Amino acid sequence: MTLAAFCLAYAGFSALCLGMDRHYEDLFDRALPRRHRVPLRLFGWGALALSLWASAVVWGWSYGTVEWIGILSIAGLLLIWFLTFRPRAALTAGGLCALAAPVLAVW
Amino acid sequence: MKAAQPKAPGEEGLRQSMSWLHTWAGLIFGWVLFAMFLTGSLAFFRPEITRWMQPEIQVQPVPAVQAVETAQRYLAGHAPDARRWFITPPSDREPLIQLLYQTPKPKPGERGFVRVKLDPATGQAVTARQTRGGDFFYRFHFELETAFPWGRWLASIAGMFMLVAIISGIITHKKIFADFFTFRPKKGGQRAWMDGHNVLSVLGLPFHLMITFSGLVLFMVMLMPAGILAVYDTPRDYTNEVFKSSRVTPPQNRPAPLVAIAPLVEQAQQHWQGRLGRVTVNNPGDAGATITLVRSVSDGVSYGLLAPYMRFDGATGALQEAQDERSATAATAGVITGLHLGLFAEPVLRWLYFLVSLAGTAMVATGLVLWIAKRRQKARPGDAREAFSLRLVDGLNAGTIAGVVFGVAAVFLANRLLPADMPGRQVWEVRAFFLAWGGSLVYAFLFPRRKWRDLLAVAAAALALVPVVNALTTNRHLGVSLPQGDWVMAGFDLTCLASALVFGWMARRAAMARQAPARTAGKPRAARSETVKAAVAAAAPAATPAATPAATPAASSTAAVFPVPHEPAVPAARPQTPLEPRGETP
Repeated sequence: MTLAAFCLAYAGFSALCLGMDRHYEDLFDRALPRRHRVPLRLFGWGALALSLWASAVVWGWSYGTVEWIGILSIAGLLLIWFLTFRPRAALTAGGLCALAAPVLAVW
Repeated sequence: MKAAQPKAPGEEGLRQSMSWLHTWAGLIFGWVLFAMFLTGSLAFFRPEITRWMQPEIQVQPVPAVQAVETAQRYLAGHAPDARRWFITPPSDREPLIQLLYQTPKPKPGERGFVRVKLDPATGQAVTARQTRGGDFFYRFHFELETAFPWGRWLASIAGMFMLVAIISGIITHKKIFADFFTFRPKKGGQRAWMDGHNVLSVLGLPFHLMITFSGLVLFMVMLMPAGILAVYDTPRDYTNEVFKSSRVTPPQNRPAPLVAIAPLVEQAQQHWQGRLGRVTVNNPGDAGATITLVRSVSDGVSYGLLAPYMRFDGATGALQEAQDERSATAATAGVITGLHLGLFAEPVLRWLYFLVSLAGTAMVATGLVLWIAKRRQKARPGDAREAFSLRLVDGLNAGTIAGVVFGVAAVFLANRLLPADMPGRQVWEVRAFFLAWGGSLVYAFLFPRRKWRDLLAVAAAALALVPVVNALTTNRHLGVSLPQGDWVMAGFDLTCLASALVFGWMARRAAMARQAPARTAGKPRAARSETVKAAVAAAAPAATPAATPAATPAASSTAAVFPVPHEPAVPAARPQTPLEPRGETP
């Protein structure tokens, strides 16, 4: 479940990153269409919120919140690091994380 | 905080003044803060580091009830007339039984505390090489190896500058959200360092703010005594009221046998549905004896300084008083300090603490290098005055960033290489730290052009040597610890290796950067004065491509030193001053 929380955080940050003009253009060489922006951002914030929930389910709200903040920091730094050198792979990993999270949560 | 809002009148002025404040508040204590951040990161693994540094101790923990029985038997035999006993039962992180007792008539000038570690299985005292272990890093983190109040004051003042730097940094940062994911090492120079510094700061911001503020709260009694002085007659009254569990109860001067402690432990653990952290016995063998049981601080986020406790009459075993819930104020203070100490953290969270703390170390390091990179970019050739300040800061940067890491590795190497029975060896371990750091600083000023490459390489080599020397001097090296699943030893060695890799890579970047300006000589940008060129070569460009990496890894490598955390931490042995970290009120 901790792993699920991490995957959700990574996926959420990936979506939020793609939902920004600069990073979308870097990746796809075209402007971010309006119809993509809102879903990406909604998904991103939703995934971050779910990540908090996943962390709290295992650890309780006080401990879970602390752990969630740590997970956010590390997931974000990893994404940025990855994004700098392998942007496509970094965001693909975000998609995979989004798919893996429910599996990890159930398992 | 919001990006690109229409400029209000005066806004630019505020940003600029905050930028000035951020630059200088960060620089003045930057080197001290780097050392504090790094040793503080290591302190999250204090018990594990101690275990690595005493490889001859190999024991298994036992349940608290059994351990307390063993401890009482030992103390009744060895210290029946002590004024106080402190018993810390074993935990998965610290598998020894730790005892501390205060002898009735200490020599003048001494407090008469005797420390003993027992093997829980045999009940015998354990002897091992003398070392301060992880306690050195923990203590250095807030005392800087300086005499009693001064080190704490210096660390606190550095902490205040850090808080100022963080807050002014937030105000200065124009595009926290727009630049949230932006890191462009290829842009080089100031831009790359700035991105790296921003990313490390913003992503770790909740931690950085929390750890800096809570660090100051830990010392609030020392830093802001006015409130306590206004309400209490003496600081001791305050301590007795707030930290009831550590109150010293008076003897009645009538002998009476002490009841068995183990059944009381069972009763307390039942009541708490939690673990025992520490037992304190006041006046054992006297009719006025009391037995205080305190719950393990690893049982709750808010238990950092004030865990629930139960006090029993030592002659009858009757419950005298107990406290489970505290006022909202005390609970808030408990959460703030508990978050700083991180003793409640289970392994995963402890690693997160450690890694984000390393990101903080890297934040300080990138900030220091950024100071140089910014000025280099503007420097004009032949400006000798500029060059001096740059050389000074750059030398301190290299000598501290690489030097402290080298120092940490030197402590571990000294721990293995000094003879195990050498008297005063623990002092030499600490000296190794300062010799390595001081030597690095001297080297940085003697060889300004090669300093970054060489010192980073030395740090990498020293870190890589730690597991090697461990394999040559003990039988608990990676070849043994990995198959056995001994994650304290293996995690420590692996972390050293990982850090060595990171530093080796940074040293390579520094070497490449040193060559780069030579190749591009003739281009206007490279046509700097000799010294500036050298310095730039060493620091900025080298780091540039590696900006974050340079720093982050640097930090992480520094971190290299942490063993894999095991289970929950018991508050290491700090019985005699339960409020140790806040500086005991005199």
